[in-house]
Amino acid sequence: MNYIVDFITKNATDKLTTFEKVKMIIRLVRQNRVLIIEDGLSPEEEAELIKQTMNVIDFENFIGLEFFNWNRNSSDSRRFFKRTTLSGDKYTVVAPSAAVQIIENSQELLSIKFSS
Amino acid sequence: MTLSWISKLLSRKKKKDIRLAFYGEVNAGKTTLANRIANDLGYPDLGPVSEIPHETRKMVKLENAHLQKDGFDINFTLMDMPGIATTVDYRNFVKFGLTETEAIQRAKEATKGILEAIKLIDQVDIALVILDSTKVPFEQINLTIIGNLQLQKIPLIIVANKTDLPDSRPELVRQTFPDQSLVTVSAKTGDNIETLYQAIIDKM
Repeated sequence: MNYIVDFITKNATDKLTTFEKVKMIIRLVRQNRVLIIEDGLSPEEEAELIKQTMNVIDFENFIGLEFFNWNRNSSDSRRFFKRTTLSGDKYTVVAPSAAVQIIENSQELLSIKFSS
Repeated sequence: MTLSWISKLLSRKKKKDIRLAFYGEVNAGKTTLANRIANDLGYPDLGPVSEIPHETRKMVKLENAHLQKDGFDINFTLMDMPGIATTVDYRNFVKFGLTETEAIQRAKEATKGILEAIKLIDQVDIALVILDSTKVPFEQINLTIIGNLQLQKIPLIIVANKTDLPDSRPELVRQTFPDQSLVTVSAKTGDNIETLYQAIIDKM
């Protein structure tokens, strides 16, 4: 299986409602795309993403997705990125679960292998 | 302004009916903790505990669980929520010995349970976010749950669970969430559970 990485600019999502943004994300992830979303997801959008994901899981072709948020402007000088709960200046990575294998997950590093 | 703030504080102190919800990722020990609290309050278990993920697939409620402590007289409604996840793969259940039919049924129920847990967030007065302290605490699902509770302005306590296990690292949970109320417990043994009760009272 091949995966395509899409870098989605803030411009592309700016005018979308929460529902539309999440719908777009799920449509692309189901096409085996890994998304880097410049205007990251807010907590509300994350909850909507989980809800819509649960509604489309079919247990054969799509078992769900993984997503990760990163704060771009961490004041913590030890880390370039800071994992965050809050909305604001962050970006989000979304990928199909079937493709994701986490190699390392620490404060400093999230390492993911994509394979199927 | 000051009077209004004091009045709000006093009215919260008087509140006697509290809906206490147990949120967290799958297999964090939510039901074990809910059972522990229910037992301490004189009630039977809320639900079964299993190593197979998604054992709780519908919210289980215990109403009118009564706690008297330090002058407080509280009626709790305990709400044991299904574990929240972004992935549900029935094949994971087959590994635990379920037939494929049983596993698919469990997976279907799990997706509905996750939806239910998210939809019920706005019905909660205080949330316990249970984390398995043997795992890394910055799993995205924990951040999402906490973010949504903060968004709804629901008081929350992070519970670093499973401190009875040798791999437990509650200090990492504390480092990850330095600004949150946090209690380390073993729901299984009951260790430090009194501190959790005090933390709940402090949130009222």
